[in-house]
Amino acid sequence: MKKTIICLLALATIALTGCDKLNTQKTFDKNLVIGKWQSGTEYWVYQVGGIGHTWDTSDDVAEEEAQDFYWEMDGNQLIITHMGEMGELIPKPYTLILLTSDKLQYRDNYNKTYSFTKVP
Amino acid sequence: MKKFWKIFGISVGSLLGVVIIAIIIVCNVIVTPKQLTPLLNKYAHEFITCQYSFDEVELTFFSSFPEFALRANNVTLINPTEGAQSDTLLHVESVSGVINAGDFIHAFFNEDRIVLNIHGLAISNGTANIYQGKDGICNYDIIAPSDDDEEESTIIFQYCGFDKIDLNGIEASIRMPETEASVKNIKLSAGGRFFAEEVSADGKFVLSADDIYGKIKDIKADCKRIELEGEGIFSNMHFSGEGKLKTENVNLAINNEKMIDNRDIEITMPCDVNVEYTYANLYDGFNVKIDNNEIDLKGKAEMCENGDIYLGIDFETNVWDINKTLALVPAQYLKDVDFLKKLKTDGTFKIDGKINGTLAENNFPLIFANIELDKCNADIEGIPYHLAVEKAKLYADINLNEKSNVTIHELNAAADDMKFDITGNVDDLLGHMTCDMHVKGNADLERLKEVIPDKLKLKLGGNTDIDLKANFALDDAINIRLDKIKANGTIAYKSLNVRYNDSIFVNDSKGVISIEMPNKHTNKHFKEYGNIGIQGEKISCSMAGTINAIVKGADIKVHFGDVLNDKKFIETVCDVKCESLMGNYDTIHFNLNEPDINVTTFPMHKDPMQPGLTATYRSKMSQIVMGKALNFDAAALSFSGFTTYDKSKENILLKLNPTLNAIVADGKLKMAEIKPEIKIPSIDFKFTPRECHINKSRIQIEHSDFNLSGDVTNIKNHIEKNELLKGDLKFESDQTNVDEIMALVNGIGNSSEETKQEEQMPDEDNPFMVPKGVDIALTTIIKKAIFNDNELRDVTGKLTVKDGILIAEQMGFTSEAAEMQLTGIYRSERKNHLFCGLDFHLLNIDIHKLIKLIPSIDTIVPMLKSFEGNAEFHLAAETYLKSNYDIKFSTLRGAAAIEGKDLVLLDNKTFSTIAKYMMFNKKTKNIVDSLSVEATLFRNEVDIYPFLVSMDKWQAVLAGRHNLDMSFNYHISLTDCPLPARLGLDITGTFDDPKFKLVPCQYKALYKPNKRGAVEEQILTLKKQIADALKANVIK
Repeated sequence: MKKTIICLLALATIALTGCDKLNTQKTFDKNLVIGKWQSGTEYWVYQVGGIGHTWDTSDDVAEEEAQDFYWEMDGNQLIITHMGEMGELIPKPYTLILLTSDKLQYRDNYNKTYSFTKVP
Repeated sequence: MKKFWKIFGISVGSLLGVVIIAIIIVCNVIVTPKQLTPLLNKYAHEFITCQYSFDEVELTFFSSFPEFALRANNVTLINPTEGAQSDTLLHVESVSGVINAGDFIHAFFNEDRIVLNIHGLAISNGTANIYQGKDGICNYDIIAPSDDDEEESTIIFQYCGFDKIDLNGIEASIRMPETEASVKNIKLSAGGRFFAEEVSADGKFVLSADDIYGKIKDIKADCKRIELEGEGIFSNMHFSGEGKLKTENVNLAINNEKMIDNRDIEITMPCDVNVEYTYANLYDGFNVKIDNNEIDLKGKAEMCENGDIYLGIDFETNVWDINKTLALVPAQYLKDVDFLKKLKTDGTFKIDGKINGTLAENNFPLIFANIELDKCNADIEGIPYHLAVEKAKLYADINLNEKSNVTIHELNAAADDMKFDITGNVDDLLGHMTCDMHVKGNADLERLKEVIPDKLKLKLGGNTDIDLKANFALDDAINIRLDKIKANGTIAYKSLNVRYNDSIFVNDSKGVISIEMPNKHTNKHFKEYGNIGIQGEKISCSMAGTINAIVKGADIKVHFGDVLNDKKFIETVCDVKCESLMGNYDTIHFNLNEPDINVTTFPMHKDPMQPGLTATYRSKMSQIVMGKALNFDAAALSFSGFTTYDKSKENILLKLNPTLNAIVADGKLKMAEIKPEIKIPSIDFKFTPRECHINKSRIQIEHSDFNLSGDVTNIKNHIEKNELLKGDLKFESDQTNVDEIMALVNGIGNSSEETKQEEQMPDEDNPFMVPKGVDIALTTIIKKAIFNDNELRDVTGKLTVKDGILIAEQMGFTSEAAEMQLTGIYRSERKNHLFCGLDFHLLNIDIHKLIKLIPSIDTIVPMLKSFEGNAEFHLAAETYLKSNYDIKFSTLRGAAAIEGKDLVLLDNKTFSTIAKYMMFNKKTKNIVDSLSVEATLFRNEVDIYPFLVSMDKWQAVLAGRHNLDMSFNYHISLTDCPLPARLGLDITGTFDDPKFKLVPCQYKALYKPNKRGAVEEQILTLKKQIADALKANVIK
């Protein structure tokens, strides 16, 4: 019985590993991300040069009070690194799902999906 | 007996009758005019060269009683001379010569020659015209010279001198070169001996004449009548004796300028006069009386060859009336004396002294005189008081050639009802008068209003006792040229009342004012003319109704410069010492105990109308209350400083441009805006518009006490250019309650817009607003700090407040939980948008005490409470806060790193469940060998980056996300264990309701370098970046 369980676990491991390797990495045009994106009261602005800023009006924050971040895109990987004023680094890796001229969608490592609409 | 007298009378009468009859016979029968007249007429030409005539010559007795005389009637001498006033030299009704009758009768009858020995002369009722021309020709040279024929003459006039001369009713006119004279009704009765040959005489004489007129060169004199009597010797133009001259209506003019105007002059003259040598010695009793002015003279007067007159004469007057005496002074001598033109006076005086020197055309002798005035009054134009002199003793040194001076030995004077005793000197009395006076007296200050210049705008009241010494020129005094006046002394006052410019009022019950001019004191700002000291009992002052003060026991000294110059700011140095000074300015009240104040005001060099000011101040107990806004008191307070007024500036601080050094001891400050009382045991600082240097200070506020020192700079640019006010201060404290201090400085310098916003906020939302416009760094050394009810020890570091930003920079401190380093930023951009950032390092941390110290850590890293022991914790986080300090989660950012060894994993329900799923050996100790956790915080997500937990033979990698709503999604990968399989476990849900699910092992290669893939490398790289960034600021 014990051996059976070990074998099953081994097969499952192989299967899971194999499936992982079968994942095909999509590539997105990083120029499409440049612009101002909105999700509810939340706004993200991506600028050329890998910089950007974000704010949420529900917290009584205006764009001129927005917080800065750096972003980099590689394939379908989007890493947004928030550089705090106190020197802290908060890297946030995301996986792009959709990036068009007016739609942006990505998810994080915990399968939380974020969707944005480009606004002028 | 009666019969005897009868017989004696009859005998004498008979004898007199016989004698009279004999005389009548001699005069009318024996020597008759018919015999004498031809005889004299025949021989007269022998001794008179001019034409002459006479009616008859008779021998008289009764008319010349008791002597016989030869009398010629209607005698006329005619000697026509060109230029003479008349051909008639002399015409008289009678000329009598007293002779010895016996000798004459004997000679008349027995000798051929009649020698007339005339020893007396009488001339009556006639006129004489005496003339001498420029060529020396005169009409009176009529005496024939003696010649050899004289022996042959029948009648010889012989006189060896007269015993008596009588003139009566003679009128004379004299005309000589540059000399004219006329006189009427000359009467002369002279007894004694007169010797014509020697022009000498001795004896007594009485002379009178009317309508006398004389002129010598430019000197004219006349008088209505002269009476002269005397006794003495006159020989060769030299008289020695005593005479008495009495004249009426005398006039004397020199160069047509009247020297004597219609005066009655009497002169008693015991003297010795030599006409030839033109001198006169005046002896005791020599007295001149002009009208009622008498003067005794003694000394010598002498006319020099050049016409100058030397005088060396002592004199003494009787009591003279001032006005009558002034009237005697020739007008030309007074016309340039302006002072006398303005003077109306009456009174009497008495003078004695000496005249010494030469009287010449342009020279006057010196006069030294002691003058006594008695009951004199004067009204002087321009002086609004009636002046009176009860008594005065003066010494005058009159030098009309140069300056005349007067020494006042005693002068009891009064100006209206103000009385003065004056001593001193007056120099150049008749010219540029200068006075050196010592005045004692009393004055009603209200009466001085007449002499205080309007431009001073000064009104005085009260009574004073004056003791002043002054040296000044009258002109300078009238024009108040303070730099020219010397004065010192005291004025004791009662009920003083001063009003200046209807805006400054000073009152005092009694005190003493001292004056000193010029001033011995000097200062670098202006030339001091003098000083006025005031020692007052209780002085009350009011300035424009806004500043009121009461000064008790005042000792005030005001040094002043050119204060009357209205083209520059007032120049004063004011020293004030007093027992107490109380007062108020608007809503400011002050009470100063034993203040010592020095204030100097002076005009600015560039703009004299603008003031400069220096001040020093020192006092004991002082209290200053500014309405309800401020209450300050100090046991001792001192400062010094100066200010220069700059009207171009708008800000009052820059207008005044002050420099201030201040020392405060045991001060207490209460302010409306700051509730707790601020105690200032000591403070010593220097303030300028550019910077403020706090040398040392000790301040106590509620439960905080601290020493503050250092510099606050850029003050001027902060005000002018809105640049930051900079400060570099050292904050040393035994105990500081941070919460109280923050509440104290909350909101200072925030704009009105923010204040409006504050008004819109709920009452309970009053977040701490960091002062703006300042850049102040506090280097803190705090032994004990209370923050958020936690006690921190040895708090060191730098606390910076910069334009609305509070930075706690690398603060090091020790608490019960750990050694800590903190860099914090609090930025109050607006009330509902407050930035709070922390760079927090806890070294050797007791985890549970850390959570107690900072409860929010449990929110960020909830699994931390599952561990026990000491660890190292690094946290950098930031967020914006709402006005009620609620976190704006959309802005929340953070990163944390925890490193620990030998931690105890607490055996709680969650751990038991995990252990069950992971098949931990129950005997396994819960000791975690090492722990290295990196976590990030973004909004409400806490991402725990995979970290390795080694526990006995088990190794697991933990990672996951923890949401601030207390939900989580963790994963545990069992990477090393006695089991053959590598399991993974997902834990989701909440702590109250966790869900466990076995899943594949997600991080089996993460800590196996040979097996790591790109993803694992990226994870470790991010972990390292996070940790390195966090540790970068740790001070080892």
